[in-house]
This record gives sequence, C-alpha cells and structure tokens, in this order.
Amino acid sequence: MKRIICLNSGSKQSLEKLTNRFRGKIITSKPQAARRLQVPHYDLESLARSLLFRDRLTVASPLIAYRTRRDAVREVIETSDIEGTARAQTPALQAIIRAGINPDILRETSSSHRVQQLASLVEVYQTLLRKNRRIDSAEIFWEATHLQPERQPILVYGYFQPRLDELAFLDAIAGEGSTFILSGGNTEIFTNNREALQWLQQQGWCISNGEEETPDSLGKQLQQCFLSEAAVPTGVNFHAYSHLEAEVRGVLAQVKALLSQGVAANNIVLVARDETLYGSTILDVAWEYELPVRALYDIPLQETRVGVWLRLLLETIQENFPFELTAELLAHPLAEQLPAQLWSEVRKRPPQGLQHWQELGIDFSTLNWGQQDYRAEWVQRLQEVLSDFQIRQNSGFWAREIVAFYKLQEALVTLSAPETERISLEAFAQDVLDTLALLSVPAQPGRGGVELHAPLSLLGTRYQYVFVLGSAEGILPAPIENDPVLDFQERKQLMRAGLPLESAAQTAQREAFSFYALLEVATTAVTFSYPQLLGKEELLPSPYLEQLGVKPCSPSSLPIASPEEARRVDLRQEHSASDAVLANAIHAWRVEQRRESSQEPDEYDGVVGLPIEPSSRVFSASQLTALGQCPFKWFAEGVLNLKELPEAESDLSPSLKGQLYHRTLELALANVKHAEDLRSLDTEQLPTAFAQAEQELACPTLPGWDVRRAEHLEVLSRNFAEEKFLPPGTEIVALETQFKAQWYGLRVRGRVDRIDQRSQQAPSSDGGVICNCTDSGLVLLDYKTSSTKPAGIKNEAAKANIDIQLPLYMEAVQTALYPDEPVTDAYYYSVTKHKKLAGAKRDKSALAAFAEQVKSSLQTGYYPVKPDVDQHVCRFCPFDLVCRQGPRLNKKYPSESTHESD
Amino acid sequence: MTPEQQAAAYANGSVAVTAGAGTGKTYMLAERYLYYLREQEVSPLEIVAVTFTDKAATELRSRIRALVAKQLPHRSDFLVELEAAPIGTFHSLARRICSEHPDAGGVPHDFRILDEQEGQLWLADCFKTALAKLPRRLYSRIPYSLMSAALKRLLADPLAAERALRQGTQHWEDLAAQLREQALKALLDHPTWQETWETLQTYAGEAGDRLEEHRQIAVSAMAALAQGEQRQASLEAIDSIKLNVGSKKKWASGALDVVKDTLKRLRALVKKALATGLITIELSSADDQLVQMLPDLREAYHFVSETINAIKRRARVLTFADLEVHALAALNHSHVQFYYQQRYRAFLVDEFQDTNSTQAEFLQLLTHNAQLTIVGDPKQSIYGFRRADVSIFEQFRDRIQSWGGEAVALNQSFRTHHPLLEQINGVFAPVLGELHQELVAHRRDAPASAPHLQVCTVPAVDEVNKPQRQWVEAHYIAQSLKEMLDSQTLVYCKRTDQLRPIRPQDIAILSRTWEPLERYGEALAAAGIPVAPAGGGNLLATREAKDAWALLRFLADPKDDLALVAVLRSPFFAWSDRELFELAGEREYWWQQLQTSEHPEIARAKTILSQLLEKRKAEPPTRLLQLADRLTGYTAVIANLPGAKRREADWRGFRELVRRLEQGGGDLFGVVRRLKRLVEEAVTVPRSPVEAGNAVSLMTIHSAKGLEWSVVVVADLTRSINNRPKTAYFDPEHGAALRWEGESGEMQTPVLYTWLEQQQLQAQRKEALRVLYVALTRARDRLLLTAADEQGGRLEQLRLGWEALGIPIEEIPYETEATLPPAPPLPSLPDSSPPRLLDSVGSGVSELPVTALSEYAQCPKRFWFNYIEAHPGLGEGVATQTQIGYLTHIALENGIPDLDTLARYADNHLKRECLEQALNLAQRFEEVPAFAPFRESTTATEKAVTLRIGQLTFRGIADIVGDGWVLDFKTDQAVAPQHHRFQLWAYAQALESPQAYIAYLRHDYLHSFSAAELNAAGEEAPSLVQGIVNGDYSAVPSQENCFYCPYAQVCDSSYQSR
Ligand code: SF4
Repeated sequence: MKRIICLNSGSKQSLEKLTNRFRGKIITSKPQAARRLQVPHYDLESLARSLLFRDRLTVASPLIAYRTRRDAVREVIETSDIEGTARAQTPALQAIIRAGINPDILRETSSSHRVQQLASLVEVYQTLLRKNRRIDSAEIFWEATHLQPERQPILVYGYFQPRLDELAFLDAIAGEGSTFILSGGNTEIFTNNREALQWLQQQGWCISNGEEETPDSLGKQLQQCFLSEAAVPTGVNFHAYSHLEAEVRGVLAQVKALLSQGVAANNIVLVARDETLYGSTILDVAWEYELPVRALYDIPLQETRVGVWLRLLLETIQENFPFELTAELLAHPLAEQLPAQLWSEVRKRPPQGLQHWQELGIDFSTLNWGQQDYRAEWVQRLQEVLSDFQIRQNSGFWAREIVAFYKLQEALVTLSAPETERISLEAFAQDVLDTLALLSVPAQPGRGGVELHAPLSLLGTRYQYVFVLGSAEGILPAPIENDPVLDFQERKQLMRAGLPLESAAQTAQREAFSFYALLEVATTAVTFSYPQLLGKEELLPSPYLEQLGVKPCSPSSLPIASPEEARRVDLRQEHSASDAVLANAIHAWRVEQRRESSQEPDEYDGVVGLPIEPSSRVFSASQLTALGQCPFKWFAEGVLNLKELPEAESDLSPSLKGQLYHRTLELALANVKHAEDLRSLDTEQLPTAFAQAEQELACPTLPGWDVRRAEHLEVLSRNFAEEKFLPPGTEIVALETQFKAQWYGLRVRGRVDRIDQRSQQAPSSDGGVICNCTDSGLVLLDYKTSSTKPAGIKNEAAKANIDIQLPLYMEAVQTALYPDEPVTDAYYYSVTKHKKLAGAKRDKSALAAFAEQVKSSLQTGYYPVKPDVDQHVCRFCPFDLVCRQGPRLNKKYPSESTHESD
Repeated sequence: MTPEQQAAAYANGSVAVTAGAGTGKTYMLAERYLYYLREQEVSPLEIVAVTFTDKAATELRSRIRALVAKQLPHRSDFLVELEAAPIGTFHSLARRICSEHPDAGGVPHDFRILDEQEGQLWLADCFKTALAKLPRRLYSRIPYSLMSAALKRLLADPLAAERALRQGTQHWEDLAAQLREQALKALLDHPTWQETWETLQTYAGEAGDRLEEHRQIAVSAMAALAQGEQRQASLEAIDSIKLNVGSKKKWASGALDVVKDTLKRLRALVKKALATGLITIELSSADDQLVQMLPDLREAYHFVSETINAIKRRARVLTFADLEVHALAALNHSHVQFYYQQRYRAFLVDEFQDTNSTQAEFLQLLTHNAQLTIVGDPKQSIYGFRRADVSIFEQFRDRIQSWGGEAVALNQSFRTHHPLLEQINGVFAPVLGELHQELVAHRRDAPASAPHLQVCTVPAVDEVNKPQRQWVEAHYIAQSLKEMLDSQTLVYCKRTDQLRPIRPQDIAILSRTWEPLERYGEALAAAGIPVAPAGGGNLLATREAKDAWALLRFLADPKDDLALVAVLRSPFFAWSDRELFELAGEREYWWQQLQTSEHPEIARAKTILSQLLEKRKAEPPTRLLQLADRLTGYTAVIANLPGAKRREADWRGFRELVRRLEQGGGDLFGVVRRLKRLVEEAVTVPRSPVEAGNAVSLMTIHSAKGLEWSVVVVADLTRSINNRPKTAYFDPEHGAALRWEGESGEMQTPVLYTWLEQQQLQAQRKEALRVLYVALTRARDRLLLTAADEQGGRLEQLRLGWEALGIPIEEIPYETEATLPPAPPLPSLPDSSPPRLLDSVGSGVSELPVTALSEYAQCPKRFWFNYIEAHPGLGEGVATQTQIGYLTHIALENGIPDLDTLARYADNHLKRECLEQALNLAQRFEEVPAFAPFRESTTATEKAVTLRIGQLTFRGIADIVGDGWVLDFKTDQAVAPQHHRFQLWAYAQALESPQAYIAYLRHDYLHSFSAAELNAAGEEAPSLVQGIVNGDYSAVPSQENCFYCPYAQVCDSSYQSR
C-alpha cells in the first residue's frame, strides 16, 4: 500500500466513498471540514499533542509561554521595558520556531544585531521551557516529528495549503495506506503547494488525481475565473452598499429570505476576512431581524465584562480609590454595589481614597491590599474579592462571561506559581492584565444559526449559499503587516541563505490562495458585498473581485426584515393599524414635523395653554431675565422643576468661581466702609476670607489648587488697589442684602452684592468723573467674574441686551429697603477685570411692558422655545436637551435667525 | 504621458516635480514607481511611497497594481510584494520607524496609538496632573492660568517649542526695528497715503484758513514720516486734525470738500496705524519681564513634557503627533539611518507642499543615500494649521537640484478646459506673485457656452440682515444648479472622453468652513436636488445623539429628571408640554411622579421605560438603544423627517460611538460617565458622511483636496476670519513669547510677541489665498463663486484678479421670499413595496448531541442554556460532577488502572478525591456482577452514532455495543432512567439494536429499557424536535428539575426564584 496524495478535493460522493472505505484516523483541519465528511473533527494538532502527551511533553499555555518569554528577554536583551520587548519579539520568535530553524544556524546566517539577538532569545526561551518539559505551541509539529512516531494510516482533509512543519509531521506519522488531499495546479497561486508536492514525492508519496468534482460546479467555475479570464457563472453577485450597517442589513435580509424559504441554517455561511470588524454589527442586526446567527471568533478576556471589571479593580486599588474609577467599579453590572442613594450622595461629595469610601459605609476590607506579597497570596486576595463581590454568580447571567470567568480561574492557578515568589502589587496587576490580553473566549458561544467565519476556517467545506462581506480593498485581502523585529527585507536575506522563513510574497500568496479556496465553497450562489464608506473612509472594491471579473452593483429590492424597518416604510403610507408602536411613532412624527416647520409653536413646543396665577410666584431677577430671554427656559426650570443633578465639579466652573468670589468679598469687606479702610486692611484678611468661603462652598480639591488659589487671591486683591472699586467719597452701607418687593404687580426677591452711599460727586484721581450720575445717594453694585456684562432680556430685534436686573434692584431696594434714601445708580463691576462693566438703564415703559408680558405669559401658559437671535442664552442653558432648539428655530422665527459664528 | 510627465517619471536620479492642479501627478507617480521596478529592478519592498491620506495610499497601490499587471505581466513577484510594500502616510512611516527602533526612538516596544476623542480627555488630565506637580517657584512670575495656556500651546508642537525656548533674547532690538520699518513702509505704500499725498499737493487753501492749517500740518507730518522721522509726533499730528473747520470761500471750487474727504481718509488710516503701535514700537518693560519669565517657562516646559511623557510611557501610548517626533529621535542615531539605508532605495513623496518641518527633517535623514521624488504644488499648501510649511518644498527642490537631480514642472492640465483655465490663470496671476504657475489646458473647448466663471454677491439692502442675505445666497446657488440640471447642461465626462448632460454628482459646493454648507444643503434639498454632505460638525451636537444620550442618562440614573423629561418630549414618546405641566408635582423626582399616574399615555411610557430599566444590567447600551427603537419606533420617526439620511447616519454614528465606549464591557454606567465627559469638555466627535450616490457634494475646501467636479460652487466668500490673539507664539528660529495681563489690567505685549503674531497673520493671509486656489482649481467646466456680502473676506483677496480680467461682480437679484429659510421636503417614499419577513425564522439549529433530546424533554429552558447558549453552568459541584463523569469514561475507554495516568487527562486543579472517585466508578463496571454479561460480549466501544429526526441530525457516541444491545455508563447521583430514554432510544434506533441499557456505576444498578419504553420515546421524539426547531424554549420549573439544574441561579423561571 502506498501513501497517496490526492490532487483535488473531490466530489461529495467520491469523498464519501473514500471515508467509508477508509480504516484509520481521519484528520480534518476544522470542524466545518469534518462536517463535510460527516466524521468527528480531529485535527493534526490534536494528533501531535497526543503523541507529545505520551512522551510527557506539554505545550505551554499562552500564559506560561509569555512568562517564559519575559524571562528569556530579561536574560538576553538589555532593556528597561521587559514586557514590551517580550511582546514585540513574540511574532519573530514564533516565526523562527515555527520554521524549525535552529538558533545556531540562524546565528551563523546573519551578522545583523537583531538576528543575533533573536537567535539567543529563541535559544534561551526554548531551554527555559524544556526545563519543565514544555514546548511552545509553534513547535508542536516539529517536536512530534522528532519523536519519530509510529506511522499509522491517516486520511487528511482540509489542509490545502500545508505549512512546512505540518508537512514534516504529516510525513512522519502517515503510514501505508494514507491519503492526503491537496490542491494543486500550474498557476502562480499554487507555488507553495508545488514545492510541498515535490518534497512529499521525494519522501515516497504518490500522486493520484482522484475523482474530479464536476468541473462545471459553481465553485470550480469561479476558481477558473480567478485564475484566468473565464466568463463569470450565474449565481455570483457583488453588491455595493453605502456603509457597513447597510451592508450587514442587506446580507442578513437575504439570509432571512433563504431561511424562510426553508434553506437550513447550516447551508448558509457568512464570511468576513476580518470577523471582528463585522461581528458586533452582524449580531446587532441579527437581533433586530430575529435571525439566528453565530459568531465564534475569539475576543480577548480584556474585552469581556469580567476583564473590564478586573482592570477597573486593579486600577482602582493601584490609584487608591479615585472617585470615577471606584464608582464605575461599584456600579458595574458584575458588582452592582452602588445603590442609587449612595450614588447621589457621592456625586455631590466625591470620596477619594480607600478610607473616605469606607466612611460612607462601603465595605472595602478585602480591597485593602499592600504593596508586596507572595504570588499565592495575591491570588488568594483576588479570589476573596471575586467571591466578596459575587463575580461568579453575576457572570452567570451571560454564557460568555461565565466562560470568561472559568478561564480566569484556570489562569489564576498559573499566576499563583511559584508560590514563594514575592512580587509587587504593580507586577501582579501587570500579570493579571497580561493574562486578560492573552486569553480569549468566543464572541458569542453557542450553537445553531448561520455561522460567521473567516475564509481560512472554510477550507474544504461546502455551503449552498455563501455571503462574503467586506470585499473591499484594504480588508480583503488583509493588509500584510510588517514585523518590526524581522522585517520582510531581513527575511529575504535569511531566505537567500536558505532559511525557510515566510516572505512577503508568500504571505500575499497564502492570502490569495485562501480566497481561491473560498471560491470553491459555494454550491448554489455566492454573494460578495462591500461598504462604500467605512467610517469616514471611502473604500474601493477588493482587487480579488476585480480579478474575478465581477463588478459591484446595488442590490435589487431587499425584503423588509424587521418590524423596525417596516415602520420606517409604513409611517407615511397606508398600513394596518395593528401596530401600536407605529401609531405612536406617527404621533411623534407629526409632533416633530411641526416643531421643525415654520408653523407657530404649539403645546409640544412650550405653549401649554394652562394658566398660572402670577401672584402665586415670587420671582428672582434671574428668573425674570430667563423669562424674557427664552420663556421655555423659565418653564423648564420654574414649572417643570428641572435641573442638572447636583454633582461636584471637576474644575472650577464659572458659577462656582462666582460664588467663591462673592462670598470672599463679602467676608473680606465686613469691616470696610471707606477706601481708606481698604488701604489699611490686614494682608491676611483676604486669604482668611477666601479660605472660609472655600470651606463654606465645599470647593473640590482640584489639582494644583494651591497655585491656582494664589492667582485668584491676587486677582481679587487687585480690586483693593483699584480706585474704581471703592471710589473716595463713597461709603459701603450694606453687603449681600436680601430684599422682597412688589414690582409692577409681580412679587420679586433678590440679593444685592453691595450698597454704597455716595456722598457727593466722586472725583477720580486723574480728575475725571467716575460716575456720570451726579446725584448723591445710594449706589448698588453687582459683582461679575466675567469680563462682559450679563445678557439681558430680548429687545425688539430679539437681541438679549435689555438689562432688567439693575433697574429692578434699584426700584426694589428703594421701595423695600431704603424708602427714605434716593437710590441713584446701579452698575455691574467686574472683579476680574477691575472695572465697571455697565450701569443701569431705566426705561420705565419698557420695564412695565415687560412685566405685563410676564403676567400674560403666565396667565395664558405661553412658554415657547424662543431664545435670543444670537442664541447666546442657549450657550449656558442646561435645557438644550429638553427644548430641542437648533436650526429649526430659524424657520420659526426667520427674521430673527442666527448669525454666523465663525 | 506629456514630455514633462515623462521627464519626471523617467528621471535618472532624484527629481522635484511641481505639479499644477489637474496635471496628472498621481498618474505620473504610478509610472515613476513602475520605472523603478522595470528599469532599476528595485523591489516594491525597497520603494517608500508617502501619500497624504490613507485613502490616497490605497488608490496609489491599486493603480500601481493595475499598471504592473498590465505592463509587467510576467513579474508576479512584483505583484505579490507590492501588497507588503511601504505605501502609506507619513504617520505610518513614522510608526514603522518607532516600532522597529523603539529604544532609539524612546518609545515602549509595544506602544499603541491613543484613541482620538477619549485620548484628548486623557491627555488633558495628564496635563493637569503635570501642572499641579510643577515646582511652585516657577509660578512666581507666571501665574497658573498663563502658564497653563502657554504650555498647552507649546506642547502642541514640541520640536519647535524646544528649539524656540533655547533661543536667546539679543535679537529683539532688531525685530523691533524690523517691525517699525515694515509698518512704516506699509503705511507709505498704502494707496490712500499716496493718493492723499498727491491731493494735498494739488490743492491748497488761502492762508489763515483753519483747514489749510490742517492741510499743512498733514503735509509736513507726512513728509517727516516719509523720512522716518518724528514718527509718534507726526502720527499724532495727523490724528488730531480737525475737519469741521475751513471756509469754502478760501478754497477753489469743490477743493474744500476734496481736501476734507482726503484728510478724513488719511486720518482714518493713521488712526489704524497708531492703534497697532507698530510704527513706533520699542522694547519696553514687557520685554524685560519676558526675559525674566523665559527661564521659568523653559524649565516648566521641560518638567511638564517630561512628566506627560513618563505617564504615556507607563500607559504605553503615543499620540499621532508623537510618532513623528519619536521617529525623528530614532533617526538621529546613525545605526537607525544605516538600517534604512540598507532597505530603501527610492522615496516617492506626494503632496510635498504640506510637509511640516519635523517630517522634512526625518525625510532628510532617511533619504541620504536614496533617490527621492517629491511631488507637490506650493500653490496648494493649505495645512498651515497642522504646521505645514510651504517653504520646505522649495528647500528640497533646491537640494535635489544641487545634488544633480532634476526639477520638472507639470503645466498641462487634464482637468479644466482652455477658456476656464485661462480665467483661473488670469485671476491668480496678479495675486499669487512668485508662486504663480501658468497652466495650459489639454482640452481646448468648453462643453457649454460662457460664462464659465461667475462671481455673484448679494447686494446690501436696508432691512435685510446678514442671515437673510445668507439665505439669498443659498437660494441663488440652488436655483442656478437647478437650472443647469433642468436644462441638461453638457459637461465633459472624463471616463468616456465625451460630453453628456450634467448630473447632481458632477457638482460640488465648497466653502472654507463647515457651517454654511448645511444651509446650502437645505436650499438644494428644497429645490429637489439630492445632496451628500460630507461629515462635518460635532456628532454630539446633533439632535439624534442628544436624544439617545438623554435616554442612556436616564437609564443609568432614573433620578435624572432633566434626561427623563428630555426623553418624554423627544420622538421616543412625544409628550406635550401640557401633559408635562399637568404631571409636574410634588414627588422627589420625575420617575416617581410618573408612577403616580394611570393615564394611558403615561402608562405606555412607564411600561417601556421600566422594560428598558430591567434590561439595563443584562444588555449593553448599544442594545438598549436598539430595544428603545423597537419599543417606540424612534427610527421610523427620524426616517420620515426632512434630512432623514443625515439623521439616520447620526443615530448610527452615535451607536457606533457608544460601542467604542463600551470597550467590550458593555457597562451602562461607565459609558454614560465617559459620554458625560465628552459632552462637557465639548470634544468634537466627527460625524460620518452620508452616502454619496448621485448627489451634490457639500464639503470644506480642505476635504476637497485632490478631488474634482464638472461644476464647482465656491461659496461664502465674504466670511470674516476670526483671529483671536493667542497667549503665546513661538518659532524655532526666533524664540517664544507670551502676552499677559499686567497688574494694572492692560495687556503686556513684548516685541517678540508682536513680531511673531505679525508673521502668523501674514502666513494666514497667504494661506487663505492658496485655499482659494485649491477651491477654484477643482472645477473641470464651470465655476460659480458666491458671497452673502458685496465685499470683504476672500472676495477682496482676489479683487485684483477680477479687475485684471474684467470679470464683473454680479448682483444676485432677489425677492423677499428668498430671504426666508426654505421649507424642507420630506424624504421620498419608496416606489415599490418589497416583501416582508417580519417574524422570527426559528432557531437555526441543525445538529445536536443525542443527549440534548433528553434535556429538552426535561426542561427546554435548560436545554437552551446548555445547547443554544453553550452556558457551562454555575456551581462548582456541577462542574466537578461533569469532570468525574468524563474521567470515568476515559478510564473505561482506555483501561486506565492508576491515578497518575488518569491525572494527565484531568484539569490540573481537580482534587485528588475526584480522580479517585472516577477511577473507583470505572472499576465498578469491572467488578459488579450485574454488569458482567456486557463486559464479556462487547463488540465495540465508543461507537459513533448519527440519527436524523425531522430537520435535526443527532450525533452521539454509544459507550459499549454488543450483539443486539447498546449500553451507556452513567455516573449520576440519582437513578432516573426515564430522563435518558431518548438518548438510549436514539442509540438503539441508530444501531438497530433492540435492547438498551444504562449502567449506573454509582449504584451498581443496571437499568434495562423495555421495548414499549423505547417505542414511546420514539413516538415522542418528533414533537420535541419540532419544538427545538421552532425555538420554543419555555421553562418547566419543578423542584426536582431545578434542584439539580446548573442554571438554577441565573434562570429567572427557576423553582426557587418563584
Ligand atoms: S437652550 Fe436655548 S432655546 Fe432651549 S430653553 Fe435654553 S435658552 Fe431656551
């Protein structure tokens, strides 16, 4: 009996015959290939592993391999970045090992420093592994071959493009009667295989041409098209979609149509060269379509909930429980330890540091970690935390997460060894993070449904319907990555010297071959597709499709595959009224359309139409201003009682700064009456006042606050040297004075920052006149921390520049507080720019008219979304989310539309 | 190829190519590449091609691929190597250098590039941390806010900053002198000045006239200034001229008015000059202070940049900007230079005019021994804000020439037809100065009659404000384009080399900023012309993003009233304000308030929001948004509003953003917190463009680089450029300067600051002109330039050009309606009604293990957990039991006699007792008499079994098989053979064995199935299969079922949780 290479993949029948007759192990590359042969899946690697196993050699787990590489790097390469170097060197190191190159030979072949270093690294790495009878996963086949295993008859299917190590092992293990199914030909694309073939023949294998799968099968015809300029058979489509989600929708709609026609899910396959690019969108759209789809590609543990939580945990501990991180850790669905009550409390006064959190009643006793400990102890602590937070139970809500959890548990065993090694918290955390990056779980484990695969997983399979997504340049073929340690030119050199590394050309060919092999998979139809836009990038069709001779076109009418899609189409058409959601959507659409139109605002746009009795309210000046700026703003705040949830600020916001300055000045000026008092003020007065204000306002501790605070103090203190701040001949009579009064029939209240008594015309030092008001009397001051005067209510041109606060204050103070003293002036004073910003302009009739307008608004319930024409008001208004302002207002109030804001 | 193209493509050595717009440079570049392959036998791996964008790189590669396939068909080696060839952007080249030489570059070996949006926030935090750590003494001269603002600017361009901070201060005096002379020259050269001089010489009043006195004052002050003398006094003299004087009688007729008018203009001119203070600028105390500040600033800069770099190193991240800096650092090592000299033989750099100085430097080091081809057009250098420096092109061109290379200019335009190109040449000739390049058209004839270039502006009319004029402009553009489309104006088709009627996709509207484009889009849409806005603006500012954001905020914290009310008012629920008004009440928060009402409309919102709240733990935010759409029809609403495509793209864009923020973890709270920061810090998240299709492109001039259309509208030409002074200016040659507020409140401006600011302004003005050049040269057949004002902005910059060519500036005529925003059209309805597949299509399961049937019969939900979800189950007990079962089978199958051998098959943390148990159980089979008959008559073990029932295939492995019987081992705790009846029936059926047994190893018990039992199972099987196929997985909870169920803890229907 001979060992036979069967040079084509064969028809279903011939394969069946072959497998039925075959007495021996049947080896398949992937479970999908096994399915075609209807045999249990058993691959070459399992076979090799079982041999190694017998010889008590184990393949190092990813974690152990990585740690060993780190050790090797430490020994060989002088660098302060051991982890980074170990990771960066891995691909090159594995390439060498996989090619079966002996480090000594490598060293002799090239004098380049990199190569020398790499050779030593490989050597040390392998030696370290061997100490524990371990090998790297890249050397499984070579090692198994070295064991000179007893030959047995095997039937090998799906290894259509064998690597050198696979070939060597195959040859070593295949006994008489073995059959190896391979593809071959004379064109470029088979170069790699021709070499393999030659080598096998030298080893005594014979070639048989086997039974050809019908040459007119769709797959065969397509392969012909790919290799030469043959006519494209029917059943081949190439669809261009505008973007990725449209592509996925288009493809899944077709899949849904097939399934509903009775095609079995396992007769359809989705193919993406980059599964991660498509995976999540496919799963999302499939969810919407209620379409069973399976994505089995691996995602690293660090992208699972378990991984994310663990990273949060370690960062939180290392950074000593900063607010955001700790809150996220507690609120995470795996922990669920941040009750609503606690959350609203902590967001107001963010705790920092372990102790602070503990004081709030959070039990962090298991999280109080030291800085140095034994590995086993670290792991023990981590386990305690996991059980304390019930991470196992909570992971159980998602199949993927619990799988991830179990993987982690396995890894922790490895991490705890060697037990006697003492490492720092940082090193341990790094180890855990590395683990999370190295281990993976399937994106969506499970069974059933249409599967998503990369082309390579489909070698040797058959599906009736194949959908190849992402057939675009830059995605298919995948861009060839240059290895930073052993780049393609270096490889070329080494290859010239006879080392069997893979070249750039071979990589490209391998990629092309896997596409070629993919073409064979479809038996009834194959549909390629690509998105014309990926994010912002425009894409070109894949060069492979060009080579096939297929041009992209837009897909013809696709079925509507979900109620969501149906509603989009039905909303403005005749439809059955059975869909309650649609009925509501139609209502929402009408509302929104009217909001967007030039029609008058209605009850969906602030026109409530229900009265409020004006006298039932007390207005502050800022509320009245709000009403005069944008009635809806007042409605949202005053009637709906909306406000941002209170939260401590992460920076000094303008409003907090304002409060801080106001209070400081109030405190500092407590005993000041005249300008002279300012000069003789104790230098400590201001800092003390500032400190007290800070404390009262519970100012957050901001980074660099000591220096920032010094600057604030400096800015504030300059006021005292500024004559305009308190002109000679002026006396402060009151600070922060509250009042309540009637104002044009409205009840108003307010607080005046400062009330001065000006005894006579107050000259300034340069002889000019500071105040154009010559009467003596009371002067009201309003401090501002900005450099411009505040926006007022809208004037006729809808600009927010009529100030009502100062005139209101003047009148109210006059009537309510000082009926006997004339209030002669009021102005805004900038405490940061140290100058007067604007004085009061009193236009009685305008004010009266405004007061009437306020009353009428309230009585008729009229609060349209109507800010000032420049929408300055909106800039600091918190209600944008609610009021839906935007360009739509230009249509409502066209003569007042917005200005350019370049 | 033209002779010039050939000269460039086939040059023997290095070559610098000045390629005018549309002169076929990409084509030439591809040929140049091919030349290296063909004539010089260079491998694609040895040619570096640098393009401006990734897209350009892809296109170049694809072009070269086609060329090689066609011209060098026998060189498949080139073709495959091409796929790995270094064709990419400067960034990708820098990235490669960094990753190949991390130590030399000072970067972590496995760095990653920081995500753009979140990266910004992260860096801002790092910056704050670094500032907080700065030694306090450094703040004594430079207060915190100034320090922070200045360092932020310096850090944006580290290389230049470092060099600038090294500069001395000795040259400041010279700079002041330069500024004075330049300013004076500018004044004297000003047309008004010259006219004034002539007029004031021509007319004179009688002596004693007050105006005549002023005229004389002006004349002598002007004369003094012309000599550069008594500057301040002379300027002030002119400034104080009074005009409300003079008597007509003392002047020749009309002269008084002429002189008055002239003096008025002169005074205005001088006022401006005085305000800048440049003519008399001197070093002042501000400069002394700056001298003292600079050492502190330098120290602070180094401290902060070191601190940030250290943080980055620890986090193993780099920003895009870092790549170039570190690549340059690496290339400063000779071994790195040597490494690349060994590798790269030729460099091709496209769009060279937009190279910055860092790139130039590293290119210089990289190309020492290689051939260099640079292609660019200095007139199209428009990336000054990214530090591109147009002079670099000239430096390199000179260098190439001085080393014996060639300089070639491509003048023949394949884009624009002759009459239009003549006009473009004419417009730019007088304004571009030395940069100007006369292009020659390949296409002689225009496809349609003149005018080919029109300039149209909206006239100023009282009562019509700026926004209204902007609408007039928009309407006009829309109308003009509509006419072109309606009248099927002919355009030239590049692909077919024929004329054909214009289509929307042949048109683009370009403007310098994004904002006005939305307006044009609306006007076009209202006129029924399809538009394709390229992504612009901030995603987070769109209504769709805000709605989704409000929803997530509410779900993360139901106390968030503002978010909840936003959601209720939004298309999710569309509540009226009246309803809100009526509901507003006393409860602590709105969600509580909602619970108090039974109103049906409110009940609906309550139910839907509760459903979403229930899911907020289990589902990631992206899925919650989908679910919200399913429950409310949100996307149906936006898909039927005007601008639907744009809205849908924004909705999608937001979901994509959320997906990125989920980081795989899918945690609502974290996502909401991260979004909050993005919103608060006003980080711009780019919107994705709407699909192009056959529509008019709307884009900024910068994104139009490299593109072309038949008709191009360059709009919004009078927009003013906002030039707010910066806190700091610096350049590597002259140094760094700050501007700050002095103690007395006025701004302190050192001479160096003024000088650098002037430089900057000048550079900006020049660049603005080049931007216009790029815009105008995008057109193949026709150009329409528009503005909403009669003068100002860029319109002025080209005025010389219009005048030289005699191109009139046309007025846009309009009626009042044109000042109003248009009513936007609704999206068009589909004209066919496609088939509907709204229902679920089942489970899609086709293959299962035989045991699954039993499990389904017991509890379909448990089956779902186990087989559909592949949930491994909870609870250690279960996992251990499974392991013991597995090991027992292994021991039996392989006849393993000892623990050590068996241990090799086990998980390495399995307890020894378990192994012992498994081994014991296996031995039971050997020892117990009840099992003896089977031990002896076994014909096969581990027999694979396949059985098809209905649409499902079942596979399994029968433990042992004999003549007419099959037996399965069980290590179960409980004896419950009826649970396994389907499994045994299936084995019996598949193997055609009449008898089936279970050996309960724990109980030494043999169960034998009766024929009736098996038959009954067989009859029941098809209906189970149907249930599985239909996806019916409802739970069957019972004390017994749930007690042993590994999913009891997570199953919401479990017996315990009821
Ligand atoms: S954002 Fe503007 S329009 Fe909306 S409520 Fe506030 S002020 Fe009014």
